[in-house]
Amino acid sequence: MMVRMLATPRGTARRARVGLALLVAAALVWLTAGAGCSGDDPPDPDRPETESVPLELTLGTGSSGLDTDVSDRFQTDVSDALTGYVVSAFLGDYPRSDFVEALDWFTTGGAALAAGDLDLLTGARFAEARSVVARKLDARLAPFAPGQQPAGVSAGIDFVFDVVAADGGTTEVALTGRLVLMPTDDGWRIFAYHVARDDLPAEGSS
Amino acid sequence: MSTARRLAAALVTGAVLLVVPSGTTAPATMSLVAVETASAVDFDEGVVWVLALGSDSRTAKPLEGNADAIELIALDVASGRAVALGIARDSYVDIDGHGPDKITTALYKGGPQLVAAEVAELTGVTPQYVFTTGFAGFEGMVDSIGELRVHSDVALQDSEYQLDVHVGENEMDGLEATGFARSRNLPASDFGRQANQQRLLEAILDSLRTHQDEEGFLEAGALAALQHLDTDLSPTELYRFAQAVTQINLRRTATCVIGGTDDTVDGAAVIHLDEAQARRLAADAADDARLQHGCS
Repeated sequence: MMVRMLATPRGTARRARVGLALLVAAALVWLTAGAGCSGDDPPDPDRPETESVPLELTLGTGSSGLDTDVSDRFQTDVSDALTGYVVSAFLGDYPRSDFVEALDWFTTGGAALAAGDLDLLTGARFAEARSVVARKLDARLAPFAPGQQPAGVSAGIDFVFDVVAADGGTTEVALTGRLVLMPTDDGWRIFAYHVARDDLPAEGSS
Repeated sequence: MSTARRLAAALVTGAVLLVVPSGTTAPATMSLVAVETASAVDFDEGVVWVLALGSDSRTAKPLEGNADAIELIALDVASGRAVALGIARDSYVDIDGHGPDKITTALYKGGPQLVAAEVAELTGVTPQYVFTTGFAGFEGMVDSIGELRVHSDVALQDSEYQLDVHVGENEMDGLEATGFARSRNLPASDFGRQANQQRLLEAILDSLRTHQDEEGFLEAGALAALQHLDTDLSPTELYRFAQAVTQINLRRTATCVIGGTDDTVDGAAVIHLDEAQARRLAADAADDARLQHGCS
């Protein structure tokens, strides 16, 4: 699936992005809860290499006591935020330069911090790439939900992207670690991150 | 995965270097790229002052007791720095609306707010956050994060808390940690006890930082804190606070016990706190949670 960012007037950009993210979430997110789902599933042989994999959520420690409706709503809300972040930070039409839009998925203070790590938290380093495809988008959620009220979550992420440069060379980009989110008036947003970024030229690339 | 890939790349690169004769150009089939990391938590900007109170209440209601431990803590999350200033529980102060008495009594006389007000009078700093816990709460919180590694300068035994502490590093569960925080069987009594309480704070921070990447660890700790702490923070604010604390680097922390002189008032042992030192240290830490001139 190709994920395209819509060109929108500045005034409506945010609403359009949120709408896009929700559409992408609906189409892209594969919600899976509890046992029996993991990121170790073999790749779908029918998926073209130009398509990104879906975001795959699993519920981890602290989620077993959540009521089904609370859990479903929680996963939907968090997946919206994570999908919105992944789309605006790494996917979309390349070449592109609008990586700063990924900051919309952070809290205000978090965005100020993340702006200093934009090269690491987004695809800004390969702005001139030909294409970027998500090969792995796994997130394992450890919710903080006293009294059935989700008040925070730590998402252990394992993201891998294939980047095809303008000259045809490919790079495998891995982003791993934790994104920590909290509910805000605008929905769930990232307020903390502890991540590692590893960019490796793929085999055969120079 | 990244580490494994890097290791494999390093091994292969090493092998290539060994087998490629000198003067031969090796094919550029791979390169080593350092893994970069980033870590940040959106929290209050600048130095944040926290008042941590340990109540001697043995019930589930910590506000029914005296403030057995009083630690004023400066946190600077952005720089990872922290300073803890210990205030003696027997500090003799003029408690607002209640007259002269030990500061420890301000907790049951007027709650954490009154203790905070008295601490502000002594130090010139008004804490933004006040947390209070009792014996059971402290024990429960420590048990929720696992055993602590605590340094002690002296050997201590106390059968009530199954405490058998030797000089050096000790492992303590919640009960032992509570006993260690309470013990006055020390060379400097109250001042020595405050130093031990600060060692416990450092041990808790060490544990939080060591285990923070374990799935659900901080979430379980925040739940325990919510259960055992008296605080008016919302669950989300408390969770955010817990995440922020993990940014504090143990090597960038400093602890001081504010000095004073012993006295007796109406037959009770009291301490006249060195208010000049208290204000000097608080002012020193106010800009950057660092003590430029040590504890003096």
